[in-house]
Amino acid sequence: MDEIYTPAEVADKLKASLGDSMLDSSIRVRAEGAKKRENTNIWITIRREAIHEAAEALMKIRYPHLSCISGYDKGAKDENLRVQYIFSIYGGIENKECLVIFSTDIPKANPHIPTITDLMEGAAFTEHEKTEYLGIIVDGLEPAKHRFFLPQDFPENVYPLRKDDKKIPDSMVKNLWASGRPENRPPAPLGDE
Amino acid sequence: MAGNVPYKIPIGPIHPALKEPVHIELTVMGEEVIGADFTPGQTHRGIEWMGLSRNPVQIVHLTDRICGICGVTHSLSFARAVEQIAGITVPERGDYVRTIIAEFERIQSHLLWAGVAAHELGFDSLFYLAWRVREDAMDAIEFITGNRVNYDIIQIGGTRRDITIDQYAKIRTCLKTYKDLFSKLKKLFLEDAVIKSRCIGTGLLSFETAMAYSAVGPTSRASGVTADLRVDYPYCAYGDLDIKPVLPTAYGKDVNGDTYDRIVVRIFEIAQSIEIIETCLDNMPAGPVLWEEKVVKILAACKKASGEAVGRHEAPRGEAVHYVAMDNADAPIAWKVKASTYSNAHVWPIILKGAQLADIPIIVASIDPCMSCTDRVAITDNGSTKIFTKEQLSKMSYEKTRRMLQ
Repeated sequence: MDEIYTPAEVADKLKASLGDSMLDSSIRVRAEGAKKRENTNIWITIRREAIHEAAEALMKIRYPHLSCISGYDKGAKDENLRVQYIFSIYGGIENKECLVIFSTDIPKANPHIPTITDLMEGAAFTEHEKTEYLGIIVDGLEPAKHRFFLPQDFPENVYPLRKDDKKIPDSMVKNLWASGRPENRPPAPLGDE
Repeated sequence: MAGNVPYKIPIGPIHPALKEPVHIELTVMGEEVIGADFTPGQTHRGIEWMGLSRNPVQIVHLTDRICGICGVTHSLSFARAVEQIAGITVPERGDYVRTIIAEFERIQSHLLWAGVAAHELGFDSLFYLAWRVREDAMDAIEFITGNRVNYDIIQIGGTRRDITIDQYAKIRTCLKTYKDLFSKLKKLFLEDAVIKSRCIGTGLLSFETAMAYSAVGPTSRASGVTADLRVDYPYCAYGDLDIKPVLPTAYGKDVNGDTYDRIVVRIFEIAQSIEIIETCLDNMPAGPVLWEEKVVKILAACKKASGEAVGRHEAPRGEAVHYVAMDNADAPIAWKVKASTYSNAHVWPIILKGAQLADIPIIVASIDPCMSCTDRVAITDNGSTKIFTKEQLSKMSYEKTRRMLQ
């Protein structure tokens, strides 16, 4: 079995592989329960160009588990989206699993990311999700025959998790409160006081 | 129907009784599936979007309603993420109550699945038995939380209800019932000749594919992946326990990664959950179960918080992940829900390939999807369409079992 590195060593190894493309990293530990056994998360910010390289570097340390790629719009006035590649390594080894989360900013004006399906074919599903929800274009990903997450008749160029002009228009939002109270209802059978 | 022409068979998407419809399109050559595609997202509810205009305490109650079976999974994952951002420490007793309710959820979820699996095979007496014994776990959950589903027991910083000492006896009685039942469950599900012949060797998922697709939970463990968050990534009270991931080897057999192995893993996980609840009850620390009783103070702490975190939980079906980012405001700026079926459903096209039409219901059900939607099937042949109802498809599955019995 390959050697198991400590979270700090994992972060150092990734820094060595990624160099300047790795902007910062922090190790966060959480302990719960009576014995306070710890679980560790490594948060790493990288440049967008280094997404594929980062996944590759992580794979050299250990074959990772990709929980999903999450992402959000930083705000209506902000120029960037932000995505997080939530990996974990050492899954299946008691008390050793460690989350490795790569975060990066993606400019809305040019929302391209490279696919990592050549490294992990199962990543396609979650990459398609980023296209549908945030309008991120995944270069090299085989185009989907249909949508996976949104209804097939969902309008084009509307992305539910965007907060800028591509967000869900008010006309698509149904407010339950605005439907008002039903009229002409019979009085509630409360009985005599 | 002409012999060799590949036919496209759409299955689904809607059955009014199911909460999460899915559309599956199969390409079949005769009875054999040669290709499969699936389209989830048939009833997209926009829950993440709704969350972005609510505060964390409101979202906790919204998370309870993501799934009707995993009532505690999503609220626990979300609460753990928010607690990490706001720096909230859950009291030890709160961690234990969370663990106990999560394990009861696993028992009822696995029994529900076992019943569905038996039903898909046309073994309805076993289906009734499994769902009858599931009621004991539902009663225990109702006894602890006040509700059968949508328990609403999780709060940011702990749980909303304690398990009091006078409740222990009734919980232990429930656990004893399951202990006494276990050998019977094992015999009925694992030694039955028909279940064996229908499930061994069908729906194969290799270790390599399980890893490449990041499959989770019993689906991946049945393929020999030893990952189990409760063991690998200690949280709540799981770090205090001595548990090992359940693999098909628990039943003294080799790992095949087939439908049968998925039954083995789930049946043995029920036994594991009983033990976990017993150990937790024996070792319950004293003290409060909630970091702060006053909701206003919880909200104030959340409003002051900024940062991002990931909350994870090993749900009955596998890893659930909630990513939350907050920035000194009432509502979070980002919330991403990754349910277990998200990681498992995309292996369907692989495990369905090569399957027989009559085996589709059990293979689709074998990953324990949070949707099991063999609702109606339409076979389209150059414009002329024949509709198979769910009943007809199930009937094909039953008939195959009957043929084997002869």
